[in-house]
Amino acid sequence: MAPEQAEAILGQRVTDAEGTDIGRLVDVLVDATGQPQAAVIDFGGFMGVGNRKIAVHWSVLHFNPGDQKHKVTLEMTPDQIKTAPEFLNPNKAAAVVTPANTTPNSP
Amino acid sequence: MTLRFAFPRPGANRALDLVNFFVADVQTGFGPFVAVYLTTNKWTQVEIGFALTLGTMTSLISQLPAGVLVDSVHNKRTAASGALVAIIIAALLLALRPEQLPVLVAQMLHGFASCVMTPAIAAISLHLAGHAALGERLGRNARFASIGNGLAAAVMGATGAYFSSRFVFLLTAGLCVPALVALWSIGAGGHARTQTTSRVMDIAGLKRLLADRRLLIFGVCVMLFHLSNAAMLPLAGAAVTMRAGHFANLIIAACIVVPQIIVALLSPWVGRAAEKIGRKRLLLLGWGALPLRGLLLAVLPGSWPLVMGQAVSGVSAAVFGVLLPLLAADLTVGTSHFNLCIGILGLAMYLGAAASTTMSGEIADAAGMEIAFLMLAGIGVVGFVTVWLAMPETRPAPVAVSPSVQE
Repeated sequence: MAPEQAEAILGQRVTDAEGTDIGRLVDVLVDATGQPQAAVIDFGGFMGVGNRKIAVHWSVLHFNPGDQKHKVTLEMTPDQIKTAPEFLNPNKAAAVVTPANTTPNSP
Repeated sequence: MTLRFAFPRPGANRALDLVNFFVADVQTGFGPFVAVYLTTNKWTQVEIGFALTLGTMTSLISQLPAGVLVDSVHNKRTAASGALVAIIIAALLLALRPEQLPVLVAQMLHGFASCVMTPAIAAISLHLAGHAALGERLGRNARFASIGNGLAAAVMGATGAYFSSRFVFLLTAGLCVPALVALWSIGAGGHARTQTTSRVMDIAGLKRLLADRRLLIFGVCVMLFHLSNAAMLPLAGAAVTMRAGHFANLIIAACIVVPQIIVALLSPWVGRAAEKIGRKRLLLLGWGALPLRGLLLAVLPGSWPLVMGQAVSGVSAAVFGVLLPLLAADLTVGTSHFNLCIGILGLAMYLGAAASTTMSGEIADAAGMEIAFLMLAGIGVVGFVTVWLAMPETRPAPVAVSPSVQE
């Protein structure tokens, strides 16, 4: 697969709608059919302090294999990001932020 | 023969300052950069967690053996050099081979080397300064370590962002070289040799040390301190990131830099004061500042109280950093297990810190941040009261030294 067609996303930088670097994509949550449902993004923090992970619905992400600098973009406002609940334990029900509303619902 | 070591050479002291500076630089490189670096190298969160835990576990179980090792080595600079070489290897492994086995080996090497480095530097300081002047020497150690830490954090943070994280580890390996050079410029100190060097099977001295009630009490105090202290910044930092958005990085950078500045400013004073007014009052200051910080964080959420709380924590950190090795020296007078004692106290520190982050994370999830901070503050109060009521003064009685008598 050519780099313009498909890109590796684990560990990839995530940018917001304006192109600012906001975090990294660190995990993908798939359902029983292998369809990705949500991605876990690691935000913020400096020198290991203040990092947060949140789970966002797959549809909130846009992937741009051709664009070197903005391979993964997240369509959320800074306020939505701020209020998103933290994704903590992959073995518990995860609160996923969906595009339609800012209140989380569990899958 | 002993006349040769009677006067500490000013060059030796400056060299020890530089050792502390460079070692702190090196240790900064291994902190949070590992997680970020592994993420960019496509490690999954589970794998990264495992690697980090392996490092922590190695450090935990290495505390005592490393202390025994440094005790048994006659030339402490050899032990410290060995540790630095291990760190060079670890940093190069991380930089050049970010695959599973090399990284795990690097984590273990680094964990063990760190446990050797701390007591070795303390022992070298004791050799150079002697017990009476140890407080001030340790104060200088802490000052240069925090300067090194702060500068390294700034430089590595900046270069890690602009260049790759790999560069941080290459830089770390590179900084070990001036550390080694400075280390061997120190020369042999002559003080307190018997206190810091044991024949490996000195069982009687060991029993004497372990039976010392003061060690047990201080160990408990150390553990309580870290049980309270360790989780406060991560917990508050997560809250700040949530609220402050784009400024979060700046605030957290301030949170890291402010206590470093205070430690750099206060530590030599703490060291001198430990000689003049005794250890206990300083212990009360350091242990007492901690619950105040917890209370501040619980009651006043927000960025500015957080930074102020960090300033307060700088006071505690300055006291703790100087007094831990100083009390180890106090408690091991007459035995020959100085480094093992530091290892024991280091173990107490790690256990307290590990329990702190686990426990407060659970409580913050269950009952909210305020309760978590109040609980941490409460533990701080317990620590303070323990110091107040149970901890005796350990400053040795001043010995009149005439000019013709060596220590």
